Amino acid sequence: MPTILSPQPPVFSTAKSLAPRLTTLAGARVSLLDNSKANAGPLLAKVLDGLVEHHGAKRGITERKSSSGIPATQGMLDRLRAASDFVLTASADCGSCTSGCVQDTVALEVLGVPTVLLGTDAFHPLAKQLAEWLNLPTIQAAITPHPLGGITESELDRKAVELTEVVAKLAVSAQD
Amino acid sequence: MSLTDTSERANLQPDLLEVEDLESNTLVELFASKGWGDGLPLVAPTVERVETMLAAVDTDPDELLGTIPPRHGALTPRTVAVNAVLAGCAPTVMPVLVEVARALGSGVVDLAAINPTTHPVAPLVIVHGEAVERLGFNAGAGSFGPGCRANATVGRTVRLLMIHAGGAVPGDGDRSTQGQPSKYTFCVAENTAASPWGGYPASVGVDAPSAVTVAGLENPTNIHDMESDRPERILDKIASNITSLGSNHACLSGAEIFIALGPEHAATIAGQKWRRDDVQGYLFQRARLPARTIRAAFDNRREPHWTRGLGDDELVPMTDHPDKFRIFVTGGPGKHSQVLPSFGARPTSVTRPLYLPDDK
Repeated sequence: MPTILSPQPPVFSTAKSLAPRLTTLAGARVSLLDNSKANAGPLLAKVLDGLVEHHGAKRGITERKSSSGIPATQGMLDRLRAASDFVLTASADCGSCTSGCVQDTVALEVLGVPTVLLGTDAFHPLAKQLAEWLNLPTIQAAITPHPLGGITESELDRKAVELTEVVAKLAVSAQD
Repeated sequence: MSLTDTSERANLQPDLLEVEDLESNTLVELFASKGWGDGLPLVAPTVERVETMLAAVDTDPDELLGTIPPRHGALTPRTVAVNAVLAGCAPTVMPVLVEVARALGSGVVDLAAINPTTHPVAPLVIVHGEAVERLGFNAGAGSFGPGCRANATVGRTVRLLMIHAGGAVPGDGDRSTQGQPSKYTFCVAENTAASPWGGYPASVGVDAPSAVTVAGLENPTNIHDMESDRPERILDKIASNITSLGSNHACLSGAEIFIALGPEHAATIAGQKWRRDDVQGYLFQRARLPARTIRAAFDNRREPHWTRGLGDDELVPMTDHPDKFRIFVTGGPGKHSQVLPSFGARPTSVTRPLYLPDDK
């Protein structure tokens, strides 16, 4: 049979591993990485409120990216590492913002900070694919039905309540 | 923080695949089953054809030129050659493709965002200088359109590299909500002979007989002005296009906005003694919207530090510096130009010098 050369080159990415999960959220400093997407900041704040109120977490710092499509700066990552036991980042609800969120999540895990990404079901497959290409397929994501932008305050409240409990579990025990 | 490590050289040789035959239809079906290809007929990348392509450049075929995010497939001249054969390239354009690949693999073009974004955006290749005529690129009438093998196949090779190395398969690693036609092919040549201000590369500090520019951009949109003899009237129409509230640079500040001036518009503008930087400065001043209008349109826009202090009635420029209006001339007779809106928040274009074999 004739042969051709494959057009698809090998992936060039080094293996990585998740940071250890928390033993408990009680007393843990939880920081936020907001990518500026619509409702990302409010959702993160509501979930943090839930973690503080119901699980005894402490408030860490908040970093906000100037654009959702780009990864966090090294300065942001360094400040989050110094001030946090656990980081929440949002929102992965479009293509480039999911790419930015996944890059940030992987970077924080590599720095030793357990992190959970908040995203929507429409872009969860992309998040998983991107994490696999970055060689850390086990990043932890708390997922809510799409969309996040353009929804009512009460819908956002309901999502936040549901996500808070998912995040609380993922903070102490990584899921496959 | 870099999440990929290209310091160790892995085995970068592409796999050999057995195929029933080398017919285009066979390849199209095989590629479709693997999520490869662009849906159009393909030329079989046999070892012989790839070697012929590689013979046109004086580089190590397995040199790592970079990776294409988000998949981070390794980019080598051999990978480029395989995809160039698939796209139907003549070997003579390989030096162009290798420099384009270096630009794509540099990390500057922001392919980690451009490939998976929901926004319709694709890397445009602009070919400059002596390479245009020597390699048969079209810088004249219809330069963004069909009919020229060099333009068509160089642009198509870039798309195939996005798909095969970058994982930019629609609905997978390419999540564009609607896509855009320029995701099939997107390559144009600068009409330097018709440019009153010389070639574009010198305006960004590149001095070489030929060059390539790569930038993540939307489809070009038309600027029609059949009658004006004053630069201001032409440029005001361009400015009105740039201030569309639906464009990415309305909500993401700091973008590069490319303007492809038709030769007649360029001549009219230069005829009044306007230089390239006069055009950039005028567009910077005129492509503005009242802060109130932008604030009313976006609930969640992250205002850049340089506009936060503006009152609602003050005018906000659509990017943060006149230099970010990138001006070049292309096309033939007629009074049309085009604006190419950018992806967004930060400059991502790369211009690299290009040396053809006979230059050395």
